[in-house]
Amino acid sequence: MRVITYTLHKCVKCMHCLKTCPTEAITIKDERVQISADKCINCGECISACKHSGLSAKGSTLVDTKNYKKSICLVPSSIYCDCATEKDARRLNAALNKLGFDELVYLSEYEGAVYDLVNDLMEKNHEGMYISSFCPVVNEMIMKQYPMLLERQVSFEYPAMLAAREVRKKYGSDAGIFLLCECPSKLTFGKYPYGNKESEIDHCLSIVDLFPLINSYRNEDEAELQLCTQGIKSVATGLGQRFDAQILSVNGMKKVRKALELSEFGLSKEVRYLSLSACFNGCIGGQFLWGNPFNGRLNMHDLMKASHVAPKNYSLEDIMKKKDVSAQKNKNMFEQLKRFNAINDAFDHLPGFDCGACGYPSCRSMAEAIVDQVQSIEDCKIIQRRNQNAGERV
Amino acid sequence: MFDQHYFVIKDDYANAGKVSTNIKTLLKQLGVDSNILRRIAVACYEAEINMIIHSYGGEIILTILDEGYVNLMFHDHGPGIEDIEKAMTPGYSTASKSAREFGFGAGMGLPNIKRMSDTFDLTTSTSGTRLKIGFKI
Repeated sequence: MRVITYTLHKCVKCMHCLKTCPTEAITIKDERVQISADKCINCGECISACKHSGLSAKGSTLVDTKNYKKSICLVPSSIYCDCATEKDARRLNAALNKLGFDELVYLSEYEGAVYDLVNDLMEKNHEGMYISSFCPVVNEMIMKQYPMLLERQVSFEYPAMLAAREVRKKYGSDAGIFLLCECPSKLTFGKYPYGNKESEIDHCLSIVDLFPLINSYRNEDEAELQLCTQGIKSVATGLGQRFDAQILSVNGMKKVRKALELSEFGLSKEVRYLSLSACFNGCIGGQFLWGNPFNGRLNMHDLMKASHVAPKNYSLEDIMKKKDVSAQKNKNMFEQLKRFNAINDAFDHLPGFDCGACGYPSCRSMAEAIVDQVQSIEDCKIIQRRNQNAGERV
Repeated sequence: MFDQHYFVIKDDYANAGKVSTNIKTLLKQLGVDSNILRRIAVACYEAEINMIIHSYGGEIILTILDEGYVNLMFHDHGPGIEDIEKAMTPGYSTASKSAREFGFGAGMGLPNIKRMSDTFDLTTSTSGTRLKIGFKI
């Protein structure tokens, strides 16, 4: 499922997106940015990289609430990272109440439940390292790029999904469940707008799009705050773990990749539990949140004092997600090898600068395109110039 | 058939693991089964580190045979392993102090490599050590 789309009429070909994409999902062709749905992991790096705001990920809108008899909104704890004091948080809550939903469900206690269970599991675990992540970007990256680590991955249901399930049970199929999303990848959680058919969540809303409205509703009014300490810990990495040395939180795309690379070599034996998030400082660094993640972490730390709700009671079986074994493709090795050799032959003829001028992120991906006969070797700008120079000399 | 040569420089700790990462990425693109790839990655990494720590530098050659074999050859320019039997004993290490400061030299390198690989062939002389390991894919 891909949430990021290219919206401009014409691309200036600055290649910033091409170079930032961690999975080489982007190619630029005929002045348009194309994103491969197979490779994209919805990390949103390209959205911030594009100087012309040409790439974006949009959620549903509040108009959709009209289609349901009852509308319920799921609120993640990370939204409070902007609030310096408990009072601010209460005011934000009051503003959220005015958005027009019939009920707000706070995810904090669900986040806390998952966080607690992960920690419980790790305390009992004495063999090898486990990777767990609340971050859908990381989970998808492991599936697509680090298949060796799949069996090390603890697959827990996302807190938002658990909450949605419970809300559905309570209100039945008439209710519309809306989720506030702090990053592009969470937009994939709902049925709309991107078609996650199995999900109980009906619509995903991007927080940043609602922000002007939330801000206009913000005044002296205060509403009750329902925060759970463990929930806060789970959305902001590094806020103190239940046991210290053998649990490792890594955040930020580059560092996460480094950690995964090293884990593939079996170099993280001392680490029992690797907790990964693609955004800097965890979910509070999400792209759809307006606050800065440095302050955000301090704010969240302060808010832990104001949190008094206990985590929801779930058992391990409740939150375990079935592992999708079918996702691992069984490729025919020998056919692959043939193709692989062809790619390497093509690659040998390319300059190897990874300049991106051809519209492909690296010479290797260009070589793949040549083998697939989408491109020809003459499309390489460097080779074009070399040929030109050679022609002039003659 | 496919082969690729990589070079390893003595005491180049800054780039430790780079060759293994390249090889791992290549094999991943080829679609090698992840259980086998894990063994290849671990063995290759250990052997590469061995070359950096112990040898005067050398070459790593990756060969993929059409019959479904991945071979890795590690050729270095000396000084050779004094006592192969000892070197194959888990926990035995001749790593220098500086290597240990980098966290290497636990004495598990060669035993681990042997455990990970399907075929294992080690010959050594003062002019160099040749390690050849193979994996059925």
